[in-house]
Amino acid sequence: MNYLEFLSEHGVTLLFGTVTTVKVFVCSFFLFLIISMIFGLMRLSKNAAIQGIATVYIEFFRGTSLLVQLFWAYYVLPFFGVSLEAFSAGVLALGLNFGAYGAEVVRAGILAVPQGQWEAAHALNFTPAKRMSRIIIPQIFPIILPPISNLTVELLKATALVALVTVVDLTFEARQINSITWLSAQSFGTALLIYYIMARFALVPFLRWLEVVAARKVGLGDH
Amino acid sequence: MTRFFKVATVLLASVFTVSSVQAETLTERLANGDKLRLGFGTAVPWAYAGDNGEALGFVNAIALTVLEEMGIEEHETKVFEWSGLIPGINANRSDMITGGMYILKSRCENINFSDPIGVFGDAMLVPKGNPKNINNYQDVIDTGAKLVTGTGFNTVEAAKKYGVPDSQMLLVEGEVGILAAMKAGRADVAVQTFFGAKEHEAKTGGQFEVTDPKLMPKETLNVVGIGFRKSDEEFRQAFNAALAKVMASPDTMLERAGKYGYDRAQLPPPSMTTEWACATK
Repeated sequence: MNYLEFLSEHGVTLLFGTVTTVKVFVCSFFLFLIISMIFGLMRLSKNAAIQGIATVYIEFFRGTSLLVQLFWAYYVLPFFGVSLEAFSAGVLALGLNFGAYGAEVVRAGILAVPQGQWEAAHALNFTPAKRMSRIIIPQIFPIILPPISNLTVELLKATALVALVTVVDLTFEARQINSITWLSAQSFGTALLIYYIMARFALVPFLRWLEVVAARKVGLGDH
Repeated sequence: MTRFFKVATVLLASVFTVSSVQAETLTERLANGDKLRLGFGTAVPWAYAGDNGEALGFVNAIALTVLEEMGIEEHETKVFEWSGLIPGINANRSDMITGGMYILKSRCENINFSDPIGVFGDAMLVPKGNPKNINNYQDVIDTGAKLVTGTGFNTVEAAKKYGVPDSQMLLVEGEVGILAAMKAGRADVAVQTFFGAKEHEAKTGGQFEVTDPKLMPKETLNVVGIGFRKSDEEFRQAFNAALAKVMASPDTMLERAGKYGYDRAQLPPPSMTTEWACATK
């Protein structure tokens, strides 16, 4: 069977899988950002309890395997009375896992804002909440975006793991086609190509654009 | 910025629909109009999904014949990793395991099985001409060959029972992994079901061949049942009653399962019951 025949027979299936991969990615990306922000801020709280919760969360999710977390969300949570659909379980595990890494990036980003900015806000009599939301946070984006971009590309590829908890994504379809036709080179080759195209020609340009926008907003453009 | 987080939250809220685990039994849920969910892995020709998720393979063919006998026409399918089938049904992700599971003691502890739907043997898959002359577990031990089989397969326990040391075993994910390992030369011999090995022989156009299943230890003959949750005893008994009818006049069933290679030789002898397999296997 030549490659064109393979594509005409299985292309649509792979395409449907790709759509699911994109959905999983978009949802887990949002969850990842929200969690990074919340727990990054909590890590810097002066309240020991809040800081402790954030530390425990980050240590736990960074310290255990994403695959095991996925299996937990899918196979074990129902025993505690919570039954998430495979799709939601996948998004939850991905978001929580990557959010733990992202929270540390956010924390580092906040600490990297020059001391003078904090002092200026203080001198202008800003409340701590206003200082954070109006002065500090807007300035962290140019700092955190490169590492966040890295994590985001990583997240796109990590979505492949949800295939193991019965989410019918690109990897699932590629494995399925492979196990019935045994055309490993074609099925996994095509999947690799699709992942690469998504990362290289859609995600990376988008993240680059975000970096440029973020830099321009704080007056760091043109470099 | 704030707007972004609002949009993100709304989107996520729409994704997470938490449903609490249903306490009703399968019989009650079917009466309420829920669809029966068949869970299986990808193991040609036992059970696998077609392009649109339809249930193919002879175990599915038999199960569907029995379900029709019970008057259940509609079903959904769910494809699992082989090792996810039992966790899946117990986590209420499926209602019936039609993957073609051997009835084994360790599995009986976690799920209930229907009466046997067939009797099957294992065989070894070796390179053409069987250069190392391996036909059973003892030959594997004697030649020091690397033996590959699938995670969660009955053959893992069998190989251990006959004394194959861990260092000689390679465990991979599913039938696909087995053939991939053989093709890549990571193992000298594979042990799997006779049907699975036959499929591999045909798919590789004679690169590998199947050993004579009669040369395997006799005790490795196994019966296959359909798996049910322990709490669905009522449904299992109804299924068994319908299964008995199908087995009594098996022509329709044999016609449907026959195209996947299942024939009269696989009809289970009355001596091999589920209770017997659960107690001794």
